[in-house]
Amino acid sequence: MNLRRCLRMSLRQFRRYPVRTVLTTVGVVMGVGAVVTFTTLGLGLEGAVVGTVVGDRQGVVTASTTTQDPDEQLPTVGQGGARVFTAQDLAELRNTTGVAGVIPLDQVGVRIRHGGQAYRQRLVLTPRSYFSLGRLEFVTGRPYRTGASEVVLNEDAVEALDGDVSVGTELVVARNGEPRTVTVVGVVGTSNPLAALTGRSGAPRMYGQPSLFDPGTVQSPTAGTSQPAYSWLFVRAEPGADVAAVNRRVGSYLRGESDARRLLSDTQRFDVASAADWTDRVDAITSQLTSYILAVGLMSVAIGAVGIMNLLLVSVSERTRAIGVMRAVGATRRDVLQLFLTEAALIGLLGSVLGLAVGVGVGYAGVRLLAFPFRLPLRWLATAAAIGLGVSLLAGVYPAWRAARLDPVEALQEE
Amino acid sequence: MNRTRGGPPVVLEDARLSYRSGRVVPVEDVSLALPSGSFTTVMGPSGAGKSSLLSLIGCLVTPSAGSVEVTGREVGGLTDRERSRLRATEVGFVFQHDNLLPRLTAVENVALPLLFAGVSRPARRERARELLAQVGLADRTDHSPAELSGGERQRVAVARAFANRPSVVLADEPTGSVDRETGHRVLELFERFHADGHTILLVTHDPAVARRGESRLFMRAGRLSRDREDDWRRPPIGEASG
Repeated sequence: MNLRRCLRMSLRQFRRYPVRTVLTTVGVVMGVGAVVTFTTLGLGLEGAVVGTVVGDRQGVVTASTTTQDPDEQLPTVGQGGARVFTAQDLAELRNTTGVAGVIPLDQVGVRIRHGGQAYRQRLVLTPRSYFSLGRLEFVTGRPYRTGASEVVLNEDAVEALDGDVSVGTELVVARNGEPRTVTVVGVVGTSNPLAALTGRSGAPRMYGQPSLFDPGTVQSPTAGTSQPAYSWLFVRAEPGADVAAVNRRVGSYLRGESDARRLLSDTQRFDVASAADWTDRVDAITSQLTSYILAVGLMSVAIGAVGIMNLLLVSVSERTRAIGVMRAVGATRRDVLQLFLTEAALIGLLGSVLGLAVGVGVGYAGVRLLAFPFRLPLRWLATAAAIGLGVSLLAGVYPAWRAARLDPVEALQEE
Repeated sequence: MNRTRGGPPVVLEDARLSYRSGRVVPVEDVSLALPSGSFTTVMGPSGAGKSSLLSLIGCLVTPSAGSVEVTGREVGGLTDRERSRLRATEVGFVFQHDNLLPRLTAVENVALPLLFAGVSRPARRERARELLAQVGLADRTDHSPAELSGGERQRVAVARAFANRPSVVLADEPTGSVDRETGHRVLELFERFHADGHTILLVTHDPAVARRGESRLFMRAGRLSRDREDDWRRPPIGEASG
């Protein structure tokens, strides 16, 4: 029996029992729809996370040291990292092909006296170019001037200082008992993609230039002189430069003849990453999440498959006599098998197509509601459809086999 | 039609069908040759093994012992697929109930054996329409079984049995579920097809129906015997005499 004939007979069977067919198809629609919906949401979440963490930092290579396995979690660059990047390293990196600039960064703990109160605060020591690199938005004021005793606060820090701090306020900041009077010249928003790499982006932060408090000096092994050293570096690639190549060159220098390598302890290693690496790491995390979600979707498909098996088993039992007649007039076991498998495949196909549509629709609504970016999970659409169809066919195998194995004589005697 | 160059399309030699399941009556050492173009009736009471005999000849089962040859092919040596093929091309079935597929139209039901015989769709439809015209249902071709009367359905079933120009048509109580008048018309169809040269084996428990055959056999307890006149007078075993 050819496929066209099988299809026609299957469609007639569906027309005879429309409610039963629709309900069974709904099972597959829900399963495939769940896979597509969840993967769309997963992709949206991934896009949102990548957008937050990586943002506009295309072309920025970060370098730090780490003592933990960066593959396992979102790296917090240099958390507990070592001050190993010397002025000598900065100078060498600035001369590397494709590098437009190198911005060092470090953090120190300070005490702030203000309004008769003492506060603990993290002071980020970095040149003013950091603000343009990170595209930090100034709520008010401006970046500090080079060489001036000025600081910039983020909105959380203003709040931490009980709110009565604004541009022009003078604060007494002390580190290791050494006080300095600084003027607040600007307030930036809390959102800071770069800060996500150097700790919690929502935490109170005070920014000042490295000359404010020298984070520490080390003996440069190559230059033989005492130099300031930093825990983090942001290397900006030249516009149009191959970021991956810059990434490789930075890594290669650091792991080669740099001061940093000589200063690094055995338990620590470099962590050099570009935006693409960050994207990969976020991908790794969200894809794990997607796997869990997919498992839920697959369970739904499995439930749909049970529905198909049930429908076909009932159908076999109702059509026993008809199967007997078909066998009597010359149908082979294969013909009968093919007929029932076609019915299973048709339900699977119909369910998968509708499931894709429903899944994309619900997924789209979901990402819009959660304000995630919308991207069609094309690979998952194909996978979900294949799973829907495959599982449906699989669910049809046993009923079809039972139908094909029916004894024609007994089938004909069935009432 | 018979494709054994004039030889009998059906030959049974000591064919036996042992007890298989609760609803299949055994057949004991049956020997029989159906000449090409013959119209044979087998009469016997319920439970005599008549339907089992048809199942054997119709290749629905294989003999437990002895031999069953259909168009020269030994049924016992065939695979399930080969027997299906033989049924599709050489055997036609008419059952007590019409056994039409409810989702197919009259013409599609008639064409069904041709579908499994691998005949093209236009040829199937042409042959089916021709047969429906022969059984007087030219105007009912696209009706579903539910839209036909009992007699019309049985005529469609008869047409289906002859669709593939089989070497033998096996009829199992074809008048058993219709009234006498309709039954008479159904038998007339068989006689007409027989006159066209078809080989027919019809089993019945009704002596009046059995008498329509040109040669008559009697079956009791799985064994076949030549028709004896007193068999027609004696009520079949298991049948109510009044």
